[in-house]
Amino acid sequence: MTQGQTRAHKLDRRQFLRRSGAVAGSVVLLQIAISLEGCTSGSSSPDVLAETVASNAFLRLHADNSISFLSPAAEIGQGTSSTLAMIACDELGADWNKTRFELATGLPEYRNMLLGQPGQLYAGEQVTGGSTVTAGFFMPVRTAAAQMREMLTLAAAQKWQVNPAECSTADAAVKHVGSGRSIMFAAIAPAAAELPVPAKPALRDPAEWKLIGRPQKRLDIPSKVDGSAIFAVDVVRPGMLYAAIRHAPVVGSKPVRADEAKARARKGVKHVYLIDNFAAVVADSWWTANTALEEMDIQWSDAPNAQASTATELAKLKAALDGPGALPFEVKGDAAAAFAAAKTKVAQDYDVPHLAHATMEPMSVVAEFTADGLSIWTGAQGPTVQRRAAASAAGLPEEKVHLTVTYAGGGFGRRGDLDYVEQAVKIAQRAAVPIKLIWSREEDIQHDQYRPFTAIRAEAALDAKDNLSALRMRVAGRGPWSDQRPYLVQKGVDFMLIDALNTKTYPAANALFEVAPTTSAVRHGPWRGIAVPPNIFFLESLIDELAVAAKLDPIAMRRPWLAGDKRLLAVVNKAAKEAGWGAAREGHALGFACYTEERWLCRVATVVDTSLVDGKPKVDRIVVAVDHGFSVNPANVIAQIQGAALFALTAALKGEITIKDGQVEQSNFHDYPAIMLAEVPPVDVFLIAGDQIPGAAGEIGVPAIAPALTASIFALTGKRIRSLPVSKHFA
Amino acid sequence: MISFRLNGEPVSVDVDPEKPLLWAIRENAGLTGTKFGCGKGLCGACTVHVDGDAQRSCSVPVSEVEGKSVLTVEGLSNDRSHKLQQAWIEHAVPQCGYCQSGMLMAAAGFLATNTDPSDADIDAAITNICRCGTYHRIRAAIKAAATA
Repeated sequence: MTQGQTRAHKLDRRQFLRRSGAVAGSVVLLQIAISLEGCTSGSSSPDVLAETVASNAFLRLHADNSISFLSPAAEIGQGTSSTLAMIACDELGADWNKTRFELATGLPEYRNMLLGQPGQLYAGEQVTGGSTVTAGFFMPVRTAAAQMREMLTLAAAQKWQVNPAECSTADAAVKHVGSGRSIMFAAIAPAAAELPVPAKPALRDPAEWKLIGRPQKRLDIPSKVDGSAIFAVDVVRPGMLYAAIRHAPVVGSKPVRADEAKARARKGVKHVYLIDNFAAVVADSWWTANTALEEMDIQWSDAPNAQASTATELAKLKAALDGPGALPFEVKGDAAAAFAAAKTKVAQDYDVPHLAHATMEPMSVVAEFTADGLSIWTGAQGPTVQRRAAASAAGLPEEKVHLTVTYAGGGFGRRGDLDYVEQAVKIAQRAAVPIKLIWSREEDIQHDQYRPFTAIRAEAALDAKDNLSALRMRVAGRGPWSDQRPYLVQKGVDFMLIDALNTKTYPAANALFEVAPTTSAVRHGPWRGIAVPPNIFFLESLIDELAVAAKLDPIAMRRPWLAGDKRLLAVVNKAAKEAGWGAAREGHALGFACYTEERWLCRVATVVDTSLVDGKPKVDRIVVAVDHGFSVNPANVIAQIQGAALFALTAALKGEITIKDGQVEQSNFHDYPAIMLAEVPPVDVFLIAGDQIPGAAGEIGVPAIAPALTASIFALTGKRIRSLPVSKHFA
Repeated sequence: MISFRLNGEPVSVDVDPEKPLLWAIRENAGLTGTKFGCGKGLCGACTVHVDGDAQRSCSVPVSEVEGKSVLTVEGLSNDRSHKLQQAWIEHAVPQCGYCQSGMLMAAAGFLATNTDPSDADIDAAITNICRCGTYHRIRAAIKAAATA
């Protein structure tokens, strides 16, 4: 964004063309050079940069021996830009105090490594989601850094006429052990650039790691204490105007007419548009635009969804649970026979409400048409998908669209959506000036792509030896892919509704899992963890009820079932020990939940401690034990799990979007509240280090909170909460 | 024309007197560290000081600060040396960072009135929202800054 950065990019383009050999993989060079120009914005230090003297897809080495790490992921608060920069810096042997990052797009190397392979969900796409960034890029970033290290080392060894195996790198210098000679990276970079890129560089022995695996401070923190970090909402372009919008209050409705003259009469208003399902005002101030919208009396078309309410939506879910047509997606053994022979069984219905994301930064995006295309600035979780959507909305070929990834003020799955990007493009195209679109908080809460309202009929059985003999679960709802990516819904089964409904945590020999798809009056999207938090709430609540029915301790009952998963057993025992399980304090009760996230190597156990204050449950402490494999930056992982616990606690305690006359009833933080400091309990996180590759971190702290909380409330009060949030049961 | 001091410098803005201070700071004065979060004074992302008092600038008409002195996060220091900024860095408080300008300004306003706060004092005074859940470190950083 600064002049310095622009200059650096131009220099870099020249460098790139000259030193193209340093690019990992084979790609069309010209395309790289174009896509890299102006591709970064969110950076940990916006200072003027020294010339780039070597670069590849993930790293730039500058003439002052500093490095820029090019992050393939959005920075939505999860800190992976710094985590990956640590990996790059350590593997290269650069100076951490002279390491910065930029948020990058435009290269095939940035595709999601765990979800973006051919045939996968996001084939070829750059997407920040599913807690996949550190796990997916651990090896590619090490490899890219090792390539650069080997080239620098070989160049220095050739200069000194020594064996490169006798050389090492540290503090941005190549050193020869025998002779004590040393040369800074930048000094040897020109010679290194003439060497071929090693296809399979040797990776550093983990014993040599100085950063990886040790707590480090995130590189973006300084810019976030002085207001200098640039989010999309902060981007300013020459001649830019501001846009505010109002969506049709009911899905399916459109603007018919509005008192446009009244809006235009307000000083500063430049344009009024009725487009698709929204009205927009463009003005010289966002406040002016938003105020004019309030005054212009927009008339909306009728829509069938105007009959919908939370009650009618719940009736749909219950009808789906009761009716025929459920689709089985996992069948094991003979569940019916196991239930018939059961010593203990429970059967209950549960449900979770719609939830909004409520990112602190409302949806924000800047769109600018230029002589040769379109530029977009936004905190993109899905830059390649969003760039394509912008191109489509503009009627331009994709290569004419430049998307710059800014910092994002929270994401939680929301910032991969297309709606706000397409809107900004359509407004900017009409206004013919750069436009900054900011959603009001009311638009953000009322026109989100919500976590689905979901219900389940759940049954579990114990045999005569108190083994879990059968699970039978039928989930009803409409998954996010049914709205956003219907081509991913196979034979009616939306994976993003059923994920985590399986026998991985508890290997029941007999199981029947079914899904009963429904329609919805509002749109659904991915929300931190997608289907895992609702489904772990259902499964773990059921298991807790089973323990109560069998008069067994909930943890003692589970332990024999977990014998085959030592990692899960270890976190269960750790959480129980640290929480003081079995030694409850007067007036307090503990609740427990755990789960296995097999794909991303995670095992999580959570204990919630509650007491009653004025007849209402108060959360006094949360203990979380986690094995997510190897923690590259343990300090950041702990921050993620603590933050996830509070995010999940907010949702479980008071998160609820309701519908009346087809419209979302909540509109801002007064009726869609977030947890505040006074309600925040201690959250004690215990990492059990695995020796595997890094696993997930951003989402894994969410799912076990709600079931552990409601189990605790049951132990405290005898009241079993089967329908979230907790607040509606203690009004 | 409405005139006030912004981070010590005199500024004059020719805007609707009802325009919230937040938008005058961001759009007219060009300082974007102060954030828009809710527009209703509920979340605190827009917190600034008006004559030393922490206020939610989305809900203060700019005409109300005529002749007054406004301090934003950019004015806390010019080199991140304010004791709260130092504590924020030391405790690695921010995650997404969007609420943190307002948090810092709320904390600075609070510490001006309470130099030796208890946890309960901090909990009662800081009612800004953070969706990332950085609250534990916010509490620790405020306590550290109080004794710095």
